[in-house]
Amino acid sequence: MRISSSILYLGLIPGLWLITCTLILGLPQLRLETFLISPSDAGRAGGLLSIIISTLLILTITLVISVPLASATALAMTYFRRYFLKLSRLLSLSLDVLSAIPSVIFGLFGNVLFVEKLNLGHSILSGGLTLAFMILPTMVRTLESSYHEIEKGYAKTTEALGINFSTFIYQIVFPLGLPALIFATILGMTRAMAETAALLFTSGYSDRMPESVLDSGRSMSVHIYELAMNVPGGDKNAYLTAALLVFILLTINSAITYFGYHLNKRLGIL
Amino acid sequence: MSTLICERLSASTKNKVIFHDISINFPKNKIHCLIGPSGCGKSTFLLSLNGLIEAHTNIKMRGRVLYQSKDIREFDPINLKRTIATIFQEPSPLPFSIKKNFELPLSEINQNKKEYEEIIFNSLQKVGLWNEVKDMLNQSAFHLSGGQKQRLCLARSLALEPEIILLDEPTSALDPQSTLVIEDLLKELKRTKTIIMVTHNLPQAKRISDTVAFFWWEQCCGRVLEHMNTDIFFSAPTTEQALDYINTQRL
Repeated sequence: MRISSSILYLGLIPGLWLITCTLILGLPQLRLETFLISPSDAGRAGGLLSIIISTLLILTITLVISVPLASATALAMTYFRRYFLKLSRLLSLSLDVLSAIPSVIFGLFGNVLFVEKLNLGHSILSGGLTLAFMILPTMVRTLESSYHEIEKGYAKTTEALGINFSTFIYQIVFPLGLPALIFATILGMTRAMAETAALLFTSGYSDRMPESVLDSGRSMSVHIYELAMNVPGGDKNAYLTAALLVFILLTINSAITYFGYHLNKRLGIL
Repeated sequence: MSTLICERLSASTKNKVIFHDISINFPKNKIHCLIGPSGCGKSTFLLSLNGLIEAHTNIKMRGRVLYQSKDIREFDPINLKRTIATIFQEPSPLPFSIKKNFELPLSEINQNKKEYEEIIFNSLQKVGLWNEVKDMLNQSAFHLSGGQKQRLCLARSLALEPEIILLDEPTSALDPQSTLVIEDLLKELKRTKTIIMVTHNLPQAKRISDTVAFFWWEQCCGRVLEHMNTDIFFSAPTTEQALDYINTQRL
């Protein structure tokens, strides 16, 4: 017991070291202007306004597309599992395979489909759509397993009461699955925010303030990559952006833990 | 007059026969108990009487169940579940308020919401729960005790006005006092309904049932060895297995 807890603490050290270093190196650069002005001198000077706005726009598109699609797919799969078990298994397997595909492949797919074939160019819209497809499998699987648990718990009772399957889905599975939907959304959001490779191919590098979703936009993660790899003297602002990104991700992860706890509580005691 | 007739009913999965060739008549307005050791197919048989077992498992049924002289497969499956209600071993309230536990199934058959209150009142009165829950109708059904939950489930089914009630060990998770309340309720209900109940509690079967079907595991599947009047079964069972089973329970 003592050995296993020691290993656990040892395992925590690299993570804590990474977070602490990022925050120590990044936060001293934090000024009010960081949130008020866009970057200048290739990101060495200025703030992060346009980067934050681009990130938020990409994230919004990602969620607007992925949340309803994931929800509908998970509900459909719950339905399929009951009547078309083999098809449901095939869908689950496909989703598992899709979850395991590296994000750079999704980037290439997004580049071909959205940037070139659909002629959307390197834009926030292309980036958001690509990320939506990237996080979809994880979201669907998270939702589907929760919906399935609810289905398992109440399907027999509702059928014994002569409640239609559609009523059961909309009145019981969907409302009870709401915490799981929030959980899956936050999970997808974290993955999308931390994504770099897929966006390099789709949303582009421009650090200007986007005027529409068809403009190229640079997300925070891409900004870190650019400053650290391609801009000499850009490392200080790279750390600042990294510190902000880490802060946001930690906040979102805390929210996951909170909602996860309430989800379990709700499924267990309601 | 029989309300439910099973003709050569068998149930099996790919690898196993659960019960085989059971033919039983269940006359109207009586309590019929299905007894026997665990694992001989009593619950599967019970849930096959309204087709519930086939919808949720990979069990395949052969033979026929006739309700009002018509094969149950010819009825609309949703309506059939309302007419032949099921109460499970574990109380199974829906994850809503007590009131919504009634409203949701009622909304499927009756759109006149004004009538709901009266139906809820009558159903809860019948199971003797009204006085206990009248001030907490909007609270979660999960706040009730085990016995209250089971009575709520019974009341919820009664609200749909079933003609037959199938009960799968409804009192096995309840304390003796709650068990007696449910038993009294079943005796009252048999005036208007037919009740078929699985139980492992032989004194309970003796107390409340009119007929007993004795299930036994024989030749690799469940079979009904005896089906007769309760008093005769307990005083003079015709098979050795039934006699042994009754004596073991007495010990």
